[in-house]
Amino acid sequence: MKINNFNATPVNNKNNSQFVAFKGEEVKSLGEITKNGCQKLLTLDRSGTMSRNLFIMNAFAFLLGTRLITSRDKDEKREILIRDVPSIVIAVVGVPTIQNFISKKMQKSPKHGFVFMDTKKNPELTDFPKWLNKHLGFSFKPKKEKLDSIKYSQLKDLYQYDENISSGLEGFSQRLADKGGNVKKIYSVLNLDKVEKEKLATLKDDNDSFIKELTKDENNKGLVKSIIGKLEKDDNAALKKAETLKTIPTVVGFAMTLGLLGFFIPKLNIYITETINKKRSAKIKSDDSNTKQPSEIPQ
Amino acid sequence: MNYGASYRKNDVSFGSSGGIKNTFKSLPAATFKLTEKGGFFLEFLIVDALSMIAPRVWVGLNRDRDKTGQINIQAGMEEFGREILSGPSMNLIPMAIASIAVHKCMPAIKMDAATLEGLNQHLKTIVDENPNHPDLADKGKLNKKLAEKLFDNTFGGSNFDLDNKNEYKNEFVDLLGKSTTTKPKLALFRKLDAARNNLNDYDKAEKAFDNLIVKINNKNKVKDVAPDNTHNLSLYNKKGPHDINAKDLFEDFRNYSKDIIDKFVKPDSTKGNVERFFEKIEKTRKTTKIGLAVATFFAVGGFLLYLPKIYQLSQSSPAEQSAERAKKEALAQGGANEN
Repeated sequence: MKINNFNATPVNNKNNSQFVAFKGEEVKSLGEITKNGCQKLLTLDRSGTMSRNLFIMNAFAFLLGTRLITSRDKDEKREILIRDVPSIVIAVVGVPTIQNFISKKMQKSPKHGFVFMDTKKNPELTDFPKWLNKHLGFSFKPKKEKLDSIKYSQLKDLYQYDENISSGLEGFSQRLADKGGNVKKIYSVLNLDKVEKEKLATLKDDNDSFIKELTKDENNKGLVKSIIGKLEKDDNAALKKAETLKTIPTVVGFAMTLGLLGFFIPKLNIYITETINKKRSAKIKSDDSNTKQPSEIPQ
Repeated sequence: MNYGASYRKNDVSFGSSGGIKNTFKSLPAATFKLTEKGGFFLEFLIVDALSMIAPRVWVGLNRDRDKTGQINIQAGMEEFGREILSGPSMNLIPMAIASIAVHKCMPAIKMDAATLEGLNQHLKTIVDENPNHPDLADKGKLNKKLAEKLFDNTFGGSNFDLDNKNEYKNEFVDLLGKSTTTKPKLALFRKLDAARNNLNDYDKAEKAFDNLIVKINNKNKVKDVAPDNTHNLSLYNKKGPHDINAKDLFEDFRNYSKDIIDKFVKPDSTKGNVERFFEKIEKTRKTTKIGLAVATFFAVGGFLLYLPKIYQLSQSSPAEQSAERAKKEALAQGGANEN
């Protein structure tokens, strides 16, 4: 069906149904891919804040730069370098870096079966590796997959059943399975009756068989209805658990960042200052004793 | 019957969807949901306030307290002044400048370049279909045509199998029209209103639009898996599909209408060359977007350059004063040893 006149790529029915955007794989929106490195840097977010890298550049150039230039003595310069350089970097990128690191570790553990990170296909190399490949003969390949945190709002869509979903519980479960979750474990967390929980436990463990057994078997219709009823709630147990699991890396991220910035770096600064002062006073003492020596020499 | 009653009492769901334990568990999640909504600005503010401002001021006040026996007010004040002015201002200044630029100068610079291209492409198609149509001079009617075209391209193809497509289309067009006729409050007030569930017309329409997109995505019968990112829709431009969040599109449509459609409907705006009109629009908006980032970069820089003059209260820094005290102490000790 021809919709409009301006198709750059021939859009026919065959292509439409294989459209990547609807396959469950997320391609970064074109707006992101077609930007070059410089354009990516010189952007403001929708809320008006600078992008993180631009922020760091600004802080180094103006905050540190001016502090260094207007510093009144060597000691202040040293303090600025030891204290402020790592502080700025950690303050800007600390929380998301630590959060992602811990999330990845948690997601990989198969104990809980929940998903709270999404794999995003990263089809393009960034500019710098491309340049290295082209001009210096390196052979960097694009990373196949990238794990990225899902936002709380997306998490809600993932774990709360919507009656409008045309593919029903089967499609809902398949979506969770596709993202790497274990559907049986997820549903086991719901507040079902004892009888229903036992019935659920008898079903197979692996995703495909579980979904098939649950949705295709006539005997399980009551169970399906129950599960849907629980999943439709705003505060269902599966959603709550997923949110808690997602919150843990964030909490750790904040705690570690705050600890590094508020405790470790100032202590380090004080320790270094005291060490240097001790050395200086030791030097002063030895200078003093040197200057007194000639008068002590007996005539 | 009794058995049934006691069975219900033992029902696992009783008390576990409420109760203190779950409130305790959900409190961190609720707090961090807020920080996620607040984005980089709020995250940095919390980190800055708790880890840099508070401890540094405390350390400054207590600097050499063991030697002088007093709170070191100068050190404390300098730390406070420096941190409170530098940290948050690095985000507040760009936000203020961006807000002024978007509301007063060119509303269209807020959207992604790909969104602008996509909307332009749709408008161009409408014009090409019938260059002399009288509706092209009427802003309200042109808004409606654009919304219709958006729906057709996004949901009209064979990758969306829906019942009642026309009903959805009418609602889609109606709500997008509301984005241009109602006005949003300032961002801060909107957040407070949302917290109290007291939305104005713009926010209500935005929420309804978001719900509509979710509904359409879920009801799509083509897929046998529940859809990903139900809050997103695809905007087609020359280069391919561009995923955009429903609420973002709602705002972008309003800005597009305010900026570009407003200019387009003026008599003799395109001067006969429609293609050139849109090219110029795209170029100026893209350049202004980058220019805005550069301008805010230097505005923040300028403020930070001026900052030391505000917080430096004496000639010698607290660090130097500290070193001098240590030196005096060392000399005094050396003298005592001599005696």
